[in-house]
Amino acid sequence: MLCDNIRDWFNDYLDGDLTLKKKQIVDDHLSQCSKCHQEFEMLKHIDARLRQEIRFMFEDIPVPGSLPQKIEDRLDLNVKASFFRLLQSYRRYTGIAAALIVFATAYGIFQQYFSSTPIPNFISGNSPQVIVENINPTGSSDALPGDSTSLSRDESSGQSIQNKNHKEDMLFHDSNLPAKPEDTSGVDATYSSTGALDRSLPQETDALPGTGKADGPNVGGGTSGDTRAIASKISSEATPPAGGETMMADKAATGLNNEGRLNLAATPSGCDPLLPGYLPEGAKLIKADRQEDTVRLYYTAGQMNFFIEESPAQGNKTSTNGLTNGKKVKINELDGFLLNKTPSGEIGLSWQSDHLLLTIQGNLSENELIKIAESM
Amino acid sequence: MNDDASELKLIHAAQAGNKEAFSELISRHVSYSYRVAYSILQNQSEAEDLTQDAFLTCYRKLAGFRKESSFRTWFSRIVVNLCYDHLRKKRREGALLGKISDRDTATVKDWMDNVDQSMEIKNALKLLSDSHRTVLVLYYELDLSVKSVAKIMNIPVGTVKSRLAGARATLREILERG
Repeated sequence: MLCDNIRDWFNDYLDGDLTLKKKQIVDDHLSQCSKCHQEFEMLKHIDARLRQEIRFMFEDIPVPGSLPQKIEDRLDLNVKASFFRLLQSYRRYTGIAAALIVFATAYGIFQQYFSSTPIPNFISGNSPQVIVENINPTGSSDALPGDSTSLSRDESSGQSIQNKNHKEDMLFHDSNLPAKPEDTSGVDATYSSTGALDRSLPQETDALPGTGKADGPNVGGGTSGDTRAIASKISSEATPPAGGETMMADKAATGLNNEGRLNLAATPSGCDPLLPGYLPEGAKLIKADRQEDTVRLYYTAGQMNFFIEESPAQGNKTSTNGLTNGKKVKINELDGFLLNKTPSGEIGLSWQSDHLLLTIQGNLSENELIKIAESM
Repeated sequence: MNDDASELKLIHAAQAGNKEAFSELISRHVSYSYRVAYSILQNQSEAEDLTQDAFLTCYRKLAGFRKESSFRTWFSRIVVNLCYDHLRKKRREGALLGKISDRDTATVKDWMDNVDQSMEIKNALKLLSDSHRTVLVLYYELDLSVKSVAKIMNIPVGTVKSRLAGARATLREILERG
């Protein structure tokens, strides 16, 4: 091959743009032709020198000292601008958001002043305060502590409120109402007053300020010789511990399975808890717990919250006679006592069915309350 | 810790949103990127603006940097692409106004004619047209292949090769004269 043809490929060779076959031909020729070899070495030298000069030229380009700061500044501006662009993209929803806020506020005000249904206090998470107050034969409530721990001590010492030698009754008591000492000496025992009721509510009683409950309303008043159990002291915000979110956070703690169904073992007596055949529209079981013999089922339906409590009657009868803050009602031919609605909208119903003492309590209507009771 | 490892650490931190790490990347690469921009644009203020734009682009795209090449290579591509977008825009505007730069259309022969016998190579290179100088910078400084240079500059591979060959021939002539 002619030297000129070979030399035409030198630049391609240096550019790395020569096929392997042509490269091999050039290499073979260079090994045989000293003139072409010399020419190629010269071109390689020029190429290396050009690379060097370009790099010198490149390194000599002066860089403005302020450039890094300018970049930082623009970066900061850009980040802020991106944030405001993001905000602007949501501007179209501001009208909707404002309308929702106005609506929610108006609804809250309406509920506060015109509706008997209280707004659950989700922030404080207050649960209904329930106490069992044991009135000793002398009528002094000081003798009984307001917490369940102390009550247990009473039981263990043989001074249980379940003492059958004493007349017992149970009534709902609203702490906002003045105590109304009633003479219940002549009443027939209808309701079972159980220590189990108290034991079923450790959380609630723990929430009470210790012995502070001892200065609670002395329901026993002048009733001598009675041991009276007062159940379910409902606080002014009293709503059953709905707060579905909190409750459902721990399935194990709710007594429900993943499908939201009851997941409690049968009571020691071998009976499964009774479930209502009727529930208000939208009502859902959100929690169930059992303390020994007492089962409590918590339901919620929007603003409405209530619970159903079931405990063994244990043969003790408590009377509703003489109670003035409610009325007697019939639940499927059985006697029951319906407590008047409290200012906070809570009502309660208690009755005995076979061997069970049943209680329903919450901020639902009387009609709904009776319907639930009759469906059990 | 060697430079590569520390740079990799910086990149990881910057990708995780560490502003200080990104600032360190800026200080490490600002000079090189500005010089690349200046080599292509031959205009200080434009090179500054484009370097800033390149870092903003880098900030947005850093999460997508997969470290298949060095950061410098990856970032240089951003700078070069932005510069060429800018030049294309300028050319379009220039064409509309009938003001196509003479320097852009200059040939190797024009350059050789202007090179004085006694002129240093450095000064001779300054007489190159912008597009010729860009080919040399991309090829020799950024170590891009002929095909990559052609692709970036949107010119035929043959054009890139002829410019490289012309630069070698001119340099040879200067050296042989000297």
